[in-house]
Amino acid sequence: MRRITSLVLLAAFAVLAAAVIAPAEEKSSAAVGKSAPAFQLQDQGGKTINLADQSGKVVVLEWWNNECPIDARHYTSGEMNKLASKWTDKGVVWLAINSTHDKTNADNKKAGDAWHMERPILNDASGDIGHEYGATNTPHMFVIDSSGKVVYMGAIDNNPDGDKTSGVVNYVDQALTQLASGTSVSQPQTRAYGCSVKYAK
Amino acid sequence: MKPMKRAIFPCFVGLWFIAFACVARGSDLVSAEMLSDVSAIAPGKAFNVGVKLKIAPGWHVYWVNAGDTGIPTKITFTLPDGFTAGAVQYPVPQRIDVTGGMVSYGYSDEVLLMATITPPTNLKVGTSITIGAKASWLVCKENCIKGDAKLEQAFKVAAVPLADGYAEFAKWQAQLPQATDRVKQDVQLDAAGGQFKSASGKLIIKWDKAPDKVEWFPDATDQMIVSTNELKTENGQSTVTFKIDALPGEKVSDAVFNSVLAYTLDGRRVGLAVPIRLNSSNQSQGH
Repeated sequence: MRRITSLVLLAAFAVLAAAVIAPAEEKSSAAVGKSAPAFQLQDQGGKTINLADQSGKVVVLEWWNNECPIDARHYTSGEMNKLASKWTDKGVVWLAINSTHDKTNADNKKAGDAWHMERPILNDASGDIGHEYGATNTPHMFVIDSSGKVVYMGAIDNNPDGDKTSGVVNYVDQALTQLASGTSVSQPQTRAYGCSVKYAK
Repeated sequence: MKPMKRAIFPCFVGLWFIAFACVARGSDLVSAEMLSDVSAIAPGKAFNVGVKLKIAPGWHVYWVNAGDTGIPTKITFTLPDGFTAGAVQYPVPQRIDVTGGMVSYGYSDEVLLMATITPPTNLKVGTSITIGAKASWLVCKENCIKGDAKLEQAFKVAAVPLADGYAEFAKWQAQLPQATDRVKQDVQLDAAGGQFKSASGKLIIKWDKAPDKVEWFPDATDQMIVSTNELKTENGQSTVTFKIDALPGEKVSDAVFNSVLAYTLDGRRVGLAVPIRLNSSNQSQGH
């Protein structure tokens, strides 16, 4: 009993010390060229998805909110699902993440089914993982290479108003194409656009 | 009777995408009206047109740079042959703190986005012309809704312009960022190998009388991230220190980007237009 108490005390001290010693860090830790922050989140069916289990695979993270008209535009046009299936057919793991504070797995299932999404929609209602990645917008896209490093973060494309008739570049498709061909991603970071992620705090 | 029909129609027809067809539309939360400061134009004489957006209480639309999130409000004018339009001018924006630690720049209540139009000198007196405007916006509160409007206004062509609606334009022109030589800027570039990568900068303005609520709004381009490190007002001057990082893989082609330094003095909000120069000659300018 005594040993346990002292262990607990020691652990508490270590945590305190770490908090004091650790320099003031920025909230988000996702950065191009760095390891993608780890996470375990439940999908719309309640199944836990662990990023660590995807090692060796290219992973796309799509910050997602079905109540955002910018997301809606990419889904009513069919483009987001088309892009996702193009790459999941080739073995890429595509995970939507909803950090909206008041959404449940059931909400995500209902909205995802309505949008014909045949891929996991992860529940991050606490916002912890969203903040960890520095996700600010929906959609906000991250591409992680097979070694677990972030190789792209930012907008889905260069068409915020959806009114470009030529010269549209889908940055995620571009990054995945370049990864697949073994070249480096030419535009690894862009400014995301869309609705703010509806965080709890 | 008519408006009710209009409200039901999109929900009924849009059953298959009911999730977003039956929510309020951006046009219900923002009303757009085209305005000008003349009712008759004259050959070669510049005049102003604008789109005034009235925004539902608690909601906001975005500045030319939306900040961390959002989509800029955009106005495009359609002009008859021979007419030219200046850049759309955006009044000094407000800072909008978004839950989650994000900051957006935009407008609540109402805003007039305007441009100066110059007709050709060979325009025939006695005819009439039409100018079109297309406005698009994202309006947000807790959720966001996209909206747009197509507007037009007809003008008679007279020998001399007939001023009309001047007061409204004067009110909004007073809220446009003003050119200034009062802001001193010092931007240190890290451009190793001739390629701009990052810069650290400082803006300094001296005050005769210290104002309230000094804010800085950078209009960063898509090729860079601008972060404000510190903004302090003390000893009769305000200092903004900031950092600019070129996005990896992007060549920063613009040697200048715009910014607005805003402050409130004697209850009046003022914005100064401060172009930030990203070339080596910046140290000798801006005094």
